[in-house]
Amino acid sequence: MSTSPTGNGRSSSFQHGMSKTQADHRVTENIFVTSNANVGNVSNSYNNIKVGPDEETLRIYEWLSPLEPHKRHQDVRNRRIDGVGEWVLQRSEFQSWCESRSGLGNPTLLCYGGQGVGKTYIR
Amino acid sequence: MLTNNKISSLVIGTLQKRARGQNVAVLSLYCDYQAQKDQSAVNLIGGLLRQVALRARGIPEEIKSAFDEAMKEGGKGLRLPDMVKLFVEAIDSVELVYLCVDAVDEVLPQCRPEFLRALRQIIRDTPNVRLFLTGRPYIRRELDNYLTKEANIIRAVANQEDITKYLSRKIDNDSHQDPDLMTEDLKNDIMRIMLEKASEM
Repeated sequence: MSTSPTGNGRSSSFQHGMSKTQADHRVTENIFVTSNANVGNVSNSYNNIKVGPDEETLRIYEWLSPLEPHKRHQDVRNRRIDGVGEWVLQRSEFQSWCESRSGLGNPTLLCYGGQGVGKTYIR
Repeated sequence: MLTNNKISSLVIGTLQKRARGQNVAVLSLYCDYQAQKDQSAVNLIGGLLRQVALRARGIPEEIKSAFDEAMKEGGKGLRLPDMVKLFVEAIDSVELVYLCVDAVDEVLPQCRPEFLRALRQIIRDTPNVRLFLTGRPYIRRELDNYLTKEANIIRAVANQEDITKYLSRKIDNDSHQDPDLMTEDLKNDIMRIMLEKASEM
């Protein structure tokens, strides 16, 4: 996506930038329409794939839980700043947890913190 | 800044990349004070199951038949033990399941024991599950009682590099609104004071 939150050096071409984004959006929509049409043409063996979930599928989702955790992940991910906290991924505790196989080692990894790391001061 | 949910998001994103093209599922729960009324243990486990259903092509058979069964009996939701059982069945064919729970401390205290017991049962019943949890320090003892006594532990504290990255991004975002106001001196002052404050904590 070309929507940089910093917008550095873009102020003079702001208007132009907007219309380009809108154009991109239209193109993206067209791609979706085309690919959906193709999906519709694929043989019956793929009849589980639909343009969107059908009504019953949606009812089943609702019945399972009102929570939609995957959406929350998108939201948090969009606000994340690249590089912050990446040292966690390098820790041996993380790597061995991540790579351990069924039945070997403790299956649980706890990462605790979040207090006194500066979020009161820095928003 | 370095909040638990940022670490969770980073971990989840990394696991998703590793899982691509393999029979590996990455399921996530972000617990949240603001949504506590919906975060009963049964809804949380249901939220995981919902992701299993989303990930599959079409609703998995065992979920579909549990749903049909429930509709016959008036459309009631599942009880926790049945939800856990269904979850365990639904992930049986997945080689490896990463289950990531952010901010366990934000689940209502009266719901937590039930939820933690459900997670414990899932881990016991399915050797293919890896559980990642984040939480504030005060929750540690409670977690140890259920889940984490022998677990791998990482203590997350923002380091200087994290703080510097975060601040310079924030300052850059701010300064393009009026570049004349944010001088280099001011920027350096902000950085210096913030780093000092952070190291005092």
